[in-house]
Amino acid sequence: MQVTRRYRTIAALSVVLVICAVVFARPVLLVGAVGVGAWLLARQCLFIRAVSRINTAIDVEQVISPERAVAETDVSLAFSISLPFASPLDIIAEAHPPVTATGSTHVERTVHLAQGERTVETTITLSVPVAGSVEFDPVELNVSDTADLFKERFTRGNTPSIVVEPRGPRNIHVGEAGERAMQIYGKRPSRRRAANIEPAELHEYVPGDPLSRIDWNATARLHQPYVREYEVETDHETALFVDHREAMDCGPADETKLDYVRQVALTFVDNVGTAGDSLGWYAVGDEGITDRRKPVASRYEAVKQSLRELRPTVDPANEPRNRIGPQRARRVAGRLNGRSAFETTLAPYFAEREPYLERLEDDPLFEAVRTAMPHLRGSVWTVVFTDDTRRTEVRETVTLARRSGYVLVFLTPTVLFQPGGLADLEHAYERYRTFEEFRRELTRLDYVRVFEVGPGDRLDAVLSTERRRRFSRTHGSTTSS
Amino acid sequence: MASVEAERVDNPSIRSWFGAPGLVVTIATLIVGVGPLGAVASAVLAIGWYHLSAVAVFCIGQIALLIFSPDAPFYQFAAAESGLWIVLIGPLLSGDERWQSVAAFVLAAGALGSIAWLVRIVTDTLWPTALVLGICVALVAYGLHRYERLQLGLLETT
Repeated sequence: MQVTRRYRTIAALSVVLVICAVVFARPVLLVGAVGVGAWLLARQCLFIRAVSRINTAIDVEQVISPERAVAETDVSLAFSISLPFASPLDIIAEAHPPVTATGSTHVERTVHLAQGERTVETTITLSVPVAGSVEFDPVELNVSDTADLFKERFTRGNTPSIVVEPRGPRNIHVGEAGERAMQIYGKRPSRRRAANIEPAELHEYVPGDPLSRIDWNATARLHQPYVREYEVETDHETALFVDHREAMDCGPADETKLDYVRQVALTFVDNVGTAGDSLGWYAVGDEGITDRRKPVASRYEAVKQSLRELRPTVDPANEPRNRIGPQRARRVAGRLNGRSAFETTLAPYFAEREPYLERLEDDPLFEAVRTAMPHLRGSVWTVVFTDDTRRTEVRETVTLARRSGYVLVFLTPTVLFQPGGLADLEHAYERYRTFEEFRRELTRLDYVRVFEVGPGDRLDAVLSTERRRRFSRTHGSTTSS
Repeated sequence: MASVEAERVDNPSIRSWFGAPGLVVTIATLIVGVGPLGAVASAVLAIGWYHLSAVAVFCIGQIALLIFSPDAPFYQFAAAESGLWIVLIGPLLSGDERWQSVAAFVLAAGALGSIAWLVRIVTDTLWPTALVLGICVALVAYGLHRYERLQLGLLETT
């Protein structure tokens, strides 16, 4: 309990009465001092009684919405104070968000439950720029009596918490046709025979060792079961091609296509490092290769650092590159038979066909793979991170890369990243369906595997449209039958 | 918040119209018993009652009785003193728990008065009485303060 300046003034008055009583030898002034003292004590008793009632009955609640948020996004804090009876005192309540939370002033965080009122509530908007779990302090209640003699401050209510996630890709989905992939790096088919398998150490058999590894020659020689360990020598190289052209800068801030492939690529590099394989790195911008490292079985952290620093480039032409594939071009050219003036005019352009590959030299990703392949030795595992904007280029790049070994492609569907892309779920599903057809077309190639990469929640929203359609189709047919 | 506090202090209920009869009695006693000087004192009390709190008027009234009617007859003194006590009790009657307020006041005043009277009889001097009175008020106030912190769970445990 704190006393106010008014209390001190009144107490001083009673002291003056007491002093005057002693100085002027007037006992009657002591009667006045008794009255003032009794008045102050009575007021104090009433204040304590009211505060106790409030403390017992008050209901203070704080609600955070949402309970999980991304850093620097708005969250709302609703807090309310209620009593089952009219408040006997004035109550000033102030919410205390964590120190890291910003966006609210002291006035906005404060509500006043006046004497005689029963409930008051308010909602404030905050943002937390720092990721992590933060807890809100309980609401601070400042109670004062109507005579402005006493004040009390105490805290009541719950302490909600919020989990703030850092800005960046969330719920990363890596899979095929909406199904998450369980294993990506590890066992994979190789187009070349495995290199030499060198025997390593020989040790006694202990329970748990695989029976297939028992060296029977050594066992017969030493009259006890022995297990042979082997070391596998490989000339396997992994080449990472990460597309960071302007088209990859599609999506919300810190959640673009490039951000998603970056996270997957970082994890991939970790796996390569764990396996100890040689890793080559090529960053592909709008005007060609922007960074490269020859394959070495070390310096994985340097590659990861380069990945983290990767930023989208700017397309100087800023023109959509929509090329048709060679098969379709040949089909169209085959229909020209010179019967019309239009066909006669076009015929010379199809008469001399420059190699298709030469036209694709203008495509940075294809050119990057084409120039890097001759410098890679042994069984090459080409890993490409790109999007579905230039499908012809991706198709031809994969076709080129599979000549040297296994190809792994991580594709980001543009439909999942475009702003407003999910406004029409039916249309979005159709676009995703064409993406899936393209992905399957590539996966059908030998030694090629293609995964989709994107936000899992948006993909679920798109696929749920199809699931609902199939459900209504099934139940509609059941009902009609 | 400052505007809320100012409104509370200036609230007429702080001085309370319940104390008005007491003020009238005191003013009448002063005018009748003292004369023109009593009227001056009454004017001071009335102005003080309008602009200050009831406690301030009570204290001013005590001083005024001491200055302007030090040797007044007992009945005049009793009437004026009673009026001042009614002014003091007035704000206690304006709240929701008025009877509890008055009961607490009467209890406190009776206890303090009894203690002061006993000490006065034993010592027959004023300054021990004043000292004991001050110590009693301070002790009771501190005890209530500790009890309140205990109720709110604000006491630090060792």
